[in-house]
Parts: sequence; C-alpha cells; structure tokens
Amino acid sequence: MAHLLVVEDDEQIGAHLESALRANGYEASWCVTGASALQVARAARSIDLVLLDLGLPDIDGVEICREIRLAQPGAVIVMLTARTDEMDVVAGLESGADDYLTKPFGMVELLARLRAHLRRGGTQPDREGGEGFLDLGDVRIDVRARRCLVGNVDIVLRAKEFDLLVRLAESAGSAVSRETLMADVWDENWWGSTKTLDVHIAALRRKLAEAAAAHDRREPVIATLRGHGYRLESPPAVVQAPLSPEG
Amino acid sequence: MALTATIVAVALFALPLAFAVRQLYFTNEQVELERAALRAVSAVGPEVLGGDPVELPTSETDVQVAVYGRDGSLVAGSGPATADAGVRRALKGQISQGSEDGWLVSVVPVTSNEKVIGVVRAATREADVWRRIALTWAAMLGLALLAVSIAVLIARWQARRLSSPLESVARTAQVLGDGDFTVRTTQSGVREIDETAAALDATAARLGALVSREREFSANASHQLRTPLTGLRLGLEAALGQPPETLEQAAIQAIATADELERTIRELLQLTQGSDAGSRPSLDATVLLSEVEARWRGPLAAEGRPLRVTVESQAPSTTFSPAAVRQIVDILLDNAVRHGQGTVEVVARDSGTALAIDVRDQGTDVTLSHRVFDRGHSGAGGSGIGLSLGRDLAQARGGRLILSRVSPSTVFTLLLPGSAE
Repeated sequence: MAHLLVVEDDEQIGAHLESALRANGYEASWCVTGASALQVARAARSIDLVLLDLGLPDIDGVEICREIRLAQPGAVIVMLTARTDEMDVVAGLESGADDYLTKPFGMVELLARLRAHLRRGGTQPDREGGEGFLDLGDVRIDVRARRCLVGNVDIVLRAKEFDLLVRLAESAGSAVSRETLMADVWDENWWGSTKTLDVHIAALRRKLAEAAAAHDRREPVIATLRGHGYRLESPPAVVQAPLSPEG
Repeated sequence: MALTATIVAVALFALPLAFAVRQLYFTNEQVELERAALRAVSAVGPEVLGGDPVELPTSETDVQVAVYGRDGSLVAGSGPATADAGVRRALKGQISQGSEDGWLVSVVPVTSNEKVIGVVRAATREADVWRRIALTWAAMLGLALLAVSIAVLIARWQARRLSSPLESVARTAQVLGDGDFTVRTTQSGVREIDETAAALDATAARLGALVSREREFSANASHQLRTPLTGLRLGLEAALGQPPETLEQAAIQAIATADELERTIRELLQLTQGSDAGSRPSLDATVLLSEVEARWRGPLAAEGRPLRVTVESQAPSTTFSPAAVRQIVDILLDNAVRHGQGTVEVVARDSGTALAIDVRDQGTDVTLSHRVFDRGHSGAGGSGIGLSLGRDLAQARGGRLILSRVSPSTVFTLLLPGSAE
C-alpha cells in the first residue's frame, strides 16, 4: 500500500483529501504545518508521495520541498498551489518537487495524477526482444534488475527517472515526443501540465553527469527538442569495449 | 560644516603667527634697549668715576636710563636705587639682558682701560610691549573674523544653490507619495541632483503605468466576475426547493460556471502581468556572465579556487534588469567566496519557462536553510544582509532566489521569468 503524506493547512481541504485518499486504497497521513510534515518526513519510514500545499503559514513551501527531498530522496513531491504566480511553481520544482496541481482541482484529476506517479515499471524489459541490457556508451542499463551502471557503480535513480531513461534509450538516436514519453512513462490519459517531464529530465541529466564526472566517463546526452520532446543521443559509432572492472 | 573647517584652518594658521609676533616684539624691544644703553655709554664716558653730574642723552619717553658706579650705587638717571641682578652681572664685564619685576632690562658695562668703571641700565615696562602686541593681535583677530564670515557667506550661498533643487525633488517625492503620478521635477543644473530627479521621474512614470494597469484590472475583474457570479447565484436560488433532478442539473451548471470563473481570473491575471515586458531589451546572459567571470576569477584564484561559467545554448531569454542580475550574482559569488568551498560554478540554463542561474560551490552543509536569507542572519552560510538583499531584488521584479540544494554541493538558484515568445 502506497504511503502518502498530505501537507495542507486548510482544515476542510486536508480532511477531505485524507478521507478520499483512504477511500481509494492509499495509506494517508495528514499534517497541518510544515514543521510537523518535516518531522514525519525525517522519521525513518519511507513515503511514496507527498501532496504539499505551498501556502503553509509556518515554513516557506520552497523550503519544505528541499527539506523533504533531502529527507525522502525517493518520494514523489506534488505541490498543491493556489498561487497564480508561475515563478513560485518554478521555484518549487527547482527545489525538489516533481509536479504540481493548481487549485482549484477536482478529486478525479488528483487521483489520476497520483496513479500515474505511483505506477511502477512503465516499460517492459522484453519489449524489444533483447536480453534486457541497454548500452549507452559508458553507461549500461540492466532493465530487468532496474539498475543503471557507470563502470560497476550504480547510479541511484528514482522509479520514474529510470523508466524515462529506459524509454529514451530504447529509441536512442531518434526523437521521442512529449506525448509519447508522458503516455509510456506516466499515463496515457495524462491531463494538464507536463512540467513533471522536464523536472525528471533535468534530474536525470544531473545524476548522469555527476556520476560520469565522478568516474571520469562521458555521460549519455539528452537533447531538448523545443516544442517536440527529447532525444537520447546514440553512443559513439566505435565498437564498445566490454566495461572493464577497474572502472 | 564649512564654518568649522574655516575656523580650524584660520586657527591653525593664526595661532603660531600670534606666538611669532609676540617673540618678535620682545626681541625688537631688547635690541632697542641695548641700543639706548650703548648710546648712553658713549655719552657718559669715564667721568662717571669722578662723581660729576652726568648728562644723559634724551631717549624715548618710555625708556628709563640710569648710570651706576662700580659699587653699584645709582649715579644718575632713573632706575632702582640699589643694583639689581642685571646691574651686578654687567659689573662683571658682560652685557646683560632680561626681565625683572615687570621691566624689560638691558645693562651695558662702561669700560676704561679694560676695567669696568660703571654700567648703564636701560629699561622699559613689559606692559608697554604687551600693549603693542595686543594691538597687533586684535588686528589679526579682526582679519580672521573677516575670513570666517566670508566663508560663512560662501557656504550659505552654496547651500542655497544646492538645497533649492533638492527641496524641489523632495516636494516632487511628496506629491508622488500623495498619489499624483503625473508630477515631474525641474532641471537644476547640478548634475547629481538632476540624475536623482530623472530617476524619480522614471519611478513616477512607472508607478503611474502600474497603478493605471491595476485600476484597469480591478475594473475589468469586477465586471467580468460579477456577471457569471450573478448567473450562478440566480441559478442556485431558482433550484432551491425544486425536485432532485432539477437540483442536480443546477449543480452541474454551477460547476461549469465555477470553471468559467476560474478561467476568467487566470486570463485577467495574465493581462496585468508582464504587459510592459516588451519595452525593455532582452538580457544577454553570455555577456553578463563573462563580465561576472572577469570580475571574480581573480579573487577566487587568489584562494586557489577555480571558477567555471557556462551558458547553455537553450537558456531562454528574459527581460529582467541586467543591473539587478549582476548585483544578485555578485552577492551569490561573494557568499561562495566567504562561506563556500572548492570550485565555484555559474551556470545559466533553461528551467522551463524561466532562465535559471545556478551558483554552485563544493561545500556541503545540510543545516543550511532558508534562514540564510533572513536579514542579519550570520550563521555558517549566512552573510548578513547580502542574501536577504538578493532575494528582495529578485522578488521585486518577479524573479526568485532560492537555496536549491545543500548536498552534495551547495547551490543557490536565481530564477528569472522568461520573456513571452
């Protein structure tokens, strides 16, 4: 059962969300303040998804995003914002949030969004009929084991980041449209902003670059195609030598 | 201020001069006395010994001249009846000078065949010398007062010249504060004041535009929101007490109207935001960051820390004020120099609809929080006022300054709204 944390200071909305989430088979906790939410997030238990209201009275929403991201690296953070200023959303996404919903939103929309974020294994290991390995130059993906390796070292990717990398790697060298990526990695019936795609691409690029730099390797490049989507550049044409154990 | 400076200057000049004047007068008087005594010596000659009456030459009225015999007794002229210290010294064959009991005295020995046969004493009242000194000092004081009063007049004139345009600027600011955005300052001819006035005029123009836009927005908003609200209310009132099917119909209708209202609000906000963005040129991140690099490479290199500046090709354009960006990036780099570690990276990149500028250093401090932006905070990562100012500067123009990562490196991100394409 997925564990959700609702952080919302409005009593009515909070209570409503908590009961609706429980009714839909999620385990939901509700915090009214940012401080209590951070306390829960820092407790040992892992949280799958956080619904975070940005307009909390005690702590700035952007700050909470970063603190939760630090305490719960694996959690999906969805901001709930009544703020019409787009820059607040951008700031939230920059400090660790994955997605946002603008108030007012409907429960149907929210539940669809949650399902898409919590859906696991969006790609099938055997879809291409391969043996379940994808080579991207210095980076190798073990699709079955859901591991991504630079040399012998794992890059820690979150579920959606991994799915996104696999989806791009399957079509390495060709453009993949935003709609396709959203449908294959999240949900075919995604409705609303697809900003979460850019956030995940940014995180993926950063993690690949950091891991590659740490091991003195070259990371696979994800190119942005404005107005269309993304393309994972093919590995160099030279025949790839087997990855040596010394890294 | 100018008055104090003048007084100090005059005093510094006049006090040593006054002292020198006093010295000069006394020295002069001594020379005069000695000359009078010598004149008397040549007049009296060796007949002093004989006890004959001595004819002393007439001299200045305020100088006493007296002749004393070898035994120190007064022979002729006016002076103390018995030999004083100066006379006794002179009887030993030396010219003696000095002051005694308020008199300035000069005593010259009278010699005959290399023997002292008597002395001539010339004296004048010190009070007379002082009187002359006082007269000179009074004249000097008068001149000093004249100099100071001229300085005061000049300072007054200058202050009037500066203060009247400043008062005009202050009046303009006052009128502006009272809500009249059409007010403009007048040219004064003083460059600095005219620049201030021009800045105030620009502020007035921008405020005027802003306020009129806001007023327009309120008017539009109330009109466009009231109409559907009225419809919503009427529909719901009509549905009250009706059978459930009609009620349900009304609820569906009401939800549709609510959506419509939400859309209207969004559109109205878009109307008020950024409609003057086109009037400013777009910011050139490459040029701006290369300036930043040139400024900061030296200070960082001095600490053995490399600086890397990158502008990604797909960074969106923004019309954010370059001066503000420069200032904020400087604040972040200063912070990285003071509190950060290792390589400092500045990256301009795409953040969806915004231009993001990351300033990253290799320091890791998970205790850092948004408190670094608090005014006066001076913890491990805080620099007092700098970051707080940076955040204000960013927000005043619709941007954001956030602490985006604390581990494994520290990243501050400046988010600048992208210009509409």
